[in-house]
Amino acid sequence: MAAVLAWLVVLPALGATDSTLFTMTLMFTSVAVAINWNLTGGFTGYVDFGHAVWFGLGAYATTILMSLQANSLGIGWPPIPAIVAGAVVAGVLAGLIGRATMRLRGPYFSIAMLGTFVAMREIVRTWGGLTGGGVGLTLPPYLNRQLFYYLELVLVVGLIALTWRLRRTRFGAALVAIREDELGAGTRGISTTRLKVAVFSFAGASTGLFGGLWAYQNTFVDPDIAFTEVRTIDAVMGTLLGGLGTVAGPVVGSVALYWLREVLWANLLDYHLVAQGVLLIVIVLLAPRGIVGAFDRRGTSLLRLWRRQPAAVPDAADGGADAHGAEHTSDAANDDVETRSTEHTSDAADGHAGADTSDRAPERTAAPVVLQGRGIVKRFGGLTAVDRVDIEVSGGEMVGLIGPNGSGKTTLFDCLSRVQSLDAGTIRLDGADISRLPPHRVARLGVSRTFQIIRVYRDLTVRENLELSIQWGRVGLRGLFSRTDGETRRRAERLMEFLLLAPLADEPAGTLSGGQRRLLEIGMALMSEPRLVLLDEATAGVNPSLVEDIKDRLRAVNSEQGVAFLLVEHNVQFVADLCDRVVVLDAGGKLAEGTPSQIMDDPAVIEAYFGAPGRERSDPRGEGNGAEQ
Amino acid sequence: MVTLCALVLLVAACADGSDESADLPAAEGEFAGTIRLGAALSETGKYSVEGRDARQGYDTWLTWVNDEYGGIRIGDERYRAEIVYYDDESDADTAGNLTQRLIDDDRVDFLLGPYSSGLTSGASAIAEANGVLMVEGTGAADILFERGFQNLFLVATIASDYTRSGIEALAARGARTAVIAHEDTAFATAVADGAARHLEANDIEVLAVETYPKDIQDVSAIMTKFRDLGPDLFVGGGHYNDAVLFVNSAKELDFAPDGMLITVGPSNPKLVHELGGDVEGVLGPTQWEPSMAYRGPYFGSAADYAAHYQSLWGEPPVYQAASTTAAALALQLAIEAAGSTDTDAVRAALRELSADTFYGPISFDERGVNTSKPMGMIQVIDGDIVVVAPDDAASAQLLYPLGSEKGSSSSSWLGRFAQAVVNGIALGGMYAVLVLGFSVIWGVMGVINFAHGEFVMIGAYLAWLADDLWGVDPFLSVPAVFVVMMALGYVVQRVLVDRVIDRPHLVSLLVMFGLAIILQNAMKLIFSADFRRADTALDGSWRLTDSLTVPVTKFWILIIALGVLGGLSLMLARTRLGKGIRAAAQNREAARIVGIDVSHLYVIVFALCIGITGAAGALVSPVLAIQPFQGAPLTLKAFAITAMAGLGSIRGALGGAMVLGLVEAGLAVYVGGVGTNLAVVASFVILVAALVLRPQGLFGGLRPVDATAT
Repeated sequence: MAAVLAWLVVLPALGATDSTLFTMTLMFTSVAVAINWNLTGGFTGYVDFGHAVWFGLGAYATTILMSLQANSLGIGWPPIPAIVAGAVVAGVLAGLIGRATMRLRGPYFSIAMLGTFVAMREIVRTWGGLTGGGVGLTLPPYLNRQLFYYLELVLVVGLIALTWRLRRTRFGAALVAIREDELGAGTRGISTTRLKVAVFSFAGASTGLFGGLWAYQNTFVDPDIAFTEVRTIDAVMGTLLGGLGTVAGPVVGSVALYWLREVLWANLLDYHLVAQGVLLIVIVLLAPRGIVGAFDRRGTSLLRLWRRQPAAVPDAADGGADAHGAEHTSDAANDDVETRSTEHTSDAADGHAGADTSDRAPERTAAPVVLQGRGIVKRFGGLTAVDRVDIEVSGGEMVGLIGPNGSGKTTLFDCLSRVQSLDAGTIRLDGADISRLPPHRVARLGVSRTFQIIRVYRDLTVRENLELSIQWGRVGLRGLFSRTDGETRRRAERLMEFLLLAPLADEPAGTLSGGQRRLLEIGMALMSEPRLVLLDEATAGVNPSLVEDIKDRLRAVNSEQGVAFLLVEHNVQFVADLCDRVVVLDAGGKLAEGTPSQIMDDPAVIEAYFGAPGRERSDPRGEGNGAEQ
Repeated sequence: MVTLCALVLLVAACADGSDESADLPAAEGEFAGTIRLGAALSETGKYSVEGRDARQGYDTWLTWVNDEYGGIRIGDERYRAEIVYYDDESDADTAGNLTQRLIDDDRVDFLLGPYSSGLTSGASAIAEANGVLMVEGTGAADILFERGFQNLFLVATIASDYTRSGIEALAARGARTAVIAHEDTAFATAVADGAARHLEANDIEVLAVETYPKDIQDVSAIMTKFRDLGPDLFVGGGHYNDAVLFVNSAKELDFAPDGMLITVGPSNPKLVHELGGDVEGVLGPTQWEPSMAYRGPYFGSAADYAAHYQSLWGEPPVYQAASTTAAALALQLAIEAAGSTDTDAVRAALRELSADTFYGPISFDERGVNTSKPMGMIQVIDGDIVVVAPDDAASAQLLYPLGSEKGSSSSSWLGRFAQAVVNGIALGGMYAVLVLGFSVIWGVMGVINFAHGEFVMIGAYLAWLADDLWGVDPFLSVPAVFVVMMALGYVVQRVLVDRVIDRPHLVSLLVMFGLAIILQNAMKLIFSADFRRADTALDGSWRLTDSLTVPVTKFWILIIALGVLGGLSLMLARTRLGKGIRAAAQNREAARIVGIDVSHLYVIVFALCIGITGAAGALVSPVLAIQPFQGAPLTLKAFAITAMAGLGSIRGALGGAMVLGLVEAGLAVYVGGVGTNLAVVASFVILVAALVLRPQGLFGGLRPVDATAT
């Protein structure tokens, strides 16, 4: 690598002609655009089909600023400030547009960006007074190729270094979390919107910078050459060929494409475009990880993007009388709540690992109410899934939430963790109203959750999953750009020990068994030092022997760390063994509340669970993972 | 007869050559040296056809100067000429890069221009920066010569003078009012701006100027506005495709000005071939025609040049070829006048040059533009392309006025509104039938068919072929195209789609995108990039009132579209197959569990939808510009309509298509000047807004859209 760089540095001195340098700067441009595309497409999982729009905007902004003189609107800007300003324009517009379009996901984002690209080109064409319309704008020719060769070389090397560094910071990790499971990332405290829009804006600015450089060297812009979809296609193909989500992938892929074009396809004439289509299909079908991705596990496969998240599978088949909407969304609804004496309670492992946090004693002697929901209502169309439910969890308390299928448990969870909006009612945490906060803010206040259908980052290792689930609220800007710190790593180690996952530390989470994944998810909920954990069906799909382990671990966390739990459970025995108090929901409303033994004897509860008296009773205990899935 | 002529010409050319060879150096060894020229030309990409013509033009000069003329003469020495070519792939970046390579690596003495203004622009900037002369014949946009370059020379007439001689001739015959429509590109804008100037200079009032974007598919809104203005003259164009659209649309809307001057297209025999009688009387500028009365000491007359060219390449020269030959010839004359290959000396000689050639007189002004050669104007008369202006080049009398009845200029707002609605509904009907297959494939299979527009184009090409080969009306070939396209859909499903159906959407989308690239370029290899149009007997228009016409072809398209939509709705609602399709759309696994063979179902759905899509292409082939790369914009429109309407919703496809059609037609009619540009933007603004504001779609569909991120 150093040799390549050295060769690039001395190339002009070796007597390379201007045309060679020109070729190289064009290649640098392709590489840079691909790197930028990979930041949103590969790292963050937002596949931008209109990325060339930022190139065009940068090119136009630069050209317009430089040719102001000609319009007698003032003095034309010198090249370098104009190019930098072009990047700023592209970056700001990317931030604004990304703010709107990044609310969309999967193909919808991609196509919205493609639409933005085409619309922007037509706007530039139509706004003739400023842009010269379809005629375009020209700049005086410039001479020094060598200067631009070095300028672009430095910029490309800088970009590579930056992405390499980013990959190792918490920021980079958070982007991967967004790619792998955006909803889960949000409930674990990552401010997904801000981070993804920030990276999108940066990518836009960086591509805009190269657009400005290109415009200056080309001395001419018109809508069709400044906004050409070829730049997007080359970036996508280069990145896919090289390796999606890797640092080296876009570089290797773009250079390989360049080489293919120069050497192989030159002889194919018009067939080379056909060959390009064939190549794309071949990459997608046969090498979805790309060249670098085959060696670099940190990359991703394009098969993983747009993968249907568990929550996104609507189950029309078992809709029936069940609250279809409620069950559908409920998949996404697990939450973990913890008490606020975080340092302590947060880390289940601290109990084992010694007293490094013992100086911060919990102030929970009075066990004040931590989470308080009042009159919570959630409707899906005509169906009221949660109907005026009051619920509260005190510090250090373990509360069970049970009820028959479709009774609204998970929807209530979704409301409490703010994954769902409320139709009425308030949620308070330590007396402060959190009814309108986004999920990541709730998480940062010390409420974490798990999901009925397990949401772990399946393609990351157990260790990475844990290290990603930190207390993001405390990270701050500097922390965002630094590596995972020693304390986080130690905490992850301790949690793995504690949750019996240590031997699997470097296995991808997707290879774990259901029970192990459940433990991991609990660990992820605990990593952020929560005060309250909302556990949705912690025993669903878990091997009975592991159920005992889970029970044991939860009890330990609760007693040693003072973490409060709210558990949705089908496994009534599990609830009875663990909980101080049980709340029973039926048809969206609260049916009963009391100690486990009170509940078990409540006739209303028995009827709700088992139907009218006299019907054959089945054993309510032990069968946690019933038909609700 | 034609063959015989060619033979005679061939013999004549050979005889010519042998005559002159008497005073030529017998062998190459007698050349004192070589003068090396270089050019980047488009062998591939969108300009590959014109690029080939340009190269044949250069090579015509090259063989002539070396083999017949005896080499470039400097003093008493003769120098062999050589041209180094590279393929610029019709790409501006590449053209610039190759120009640099020609200068640095090949050390050419002089440069010849690439094809088109767009490519010349970047290449000439490189030439200027390196102080190398470039003489060219095809980059005629004014903007190239407003940069103060010292090293760029154009032998052709500059764009702003394209219409000059034509307008002068028309003014002399009494034209008093005109309207202008032009594509919003460098070249077309320069032509139109020039036309506006020449019209005013000749006391012709310009009633309206409208612009429209490249790749436009429908100009009926512009023509509606123009019809209501009732001008003597229509001046418009920018692209071959636009000429087709204008001629069709004028007929469809019963808009018949006294003269139609279309800036690009009429001089191309293909247009007459495609449009037949509809193009009768249409006027167009031409740089050069073999019938022009120009003559010079080299190549003889224009007709002699044409014969020489024909003998070399087996086809008559188009003006692009004549222009590049003339460019090389002008450079040669300047070198000989300068008596050296020194750049400054040759530049000075070019500035002083004044020569009569087969191409017309050549002399350059201070910008480097040849201002002494006027543009010619041709008219299609009795199906032949004949030169009618300027007088000294004309071979026939200008036909003006065309003698048809003029449109009313007293259009009420109501009439205008009614026409906008009719245009919008007609457009909406087209969009509905075009989008249907895309919507259902996405809704049922979850596959985003990025090759959708290409399947439309294949269907349209099939209809065009049937029309071209056997004279079958496109409306009649629709069923056959449906069957053929179903078979193609079956193959694509089996070979490609089946492999990706269970993968995430991105995979199928990228695979279909790859297929789109393959199909586009395969179509281009088979059919060339020329625009085609199929002919139907169901054409023309019904004139309901003075200001309200109904286009016949689009009316029948709408009726058939409604039939197809209704039929498919009934099929989905009533039949077992339809119920199975809906079940599979809702939940693939559940459908499997209850015993539906989902894989089998997908084959049927995909083949059926491709069949419908291809048939829709055949259906709209009389009104659509058929060209390999015209499919991609349709895919985006399909996406916009589907996202707005709901996946797989047939009602939604119709509703969304109508909304888009009406918005486009309304914008184009009611917003002056740039309305048509805005109409193109509209579909994408609607798309993005619909997605962001109402991600579940407006009409509901076979499957939930669920587009939001969290």
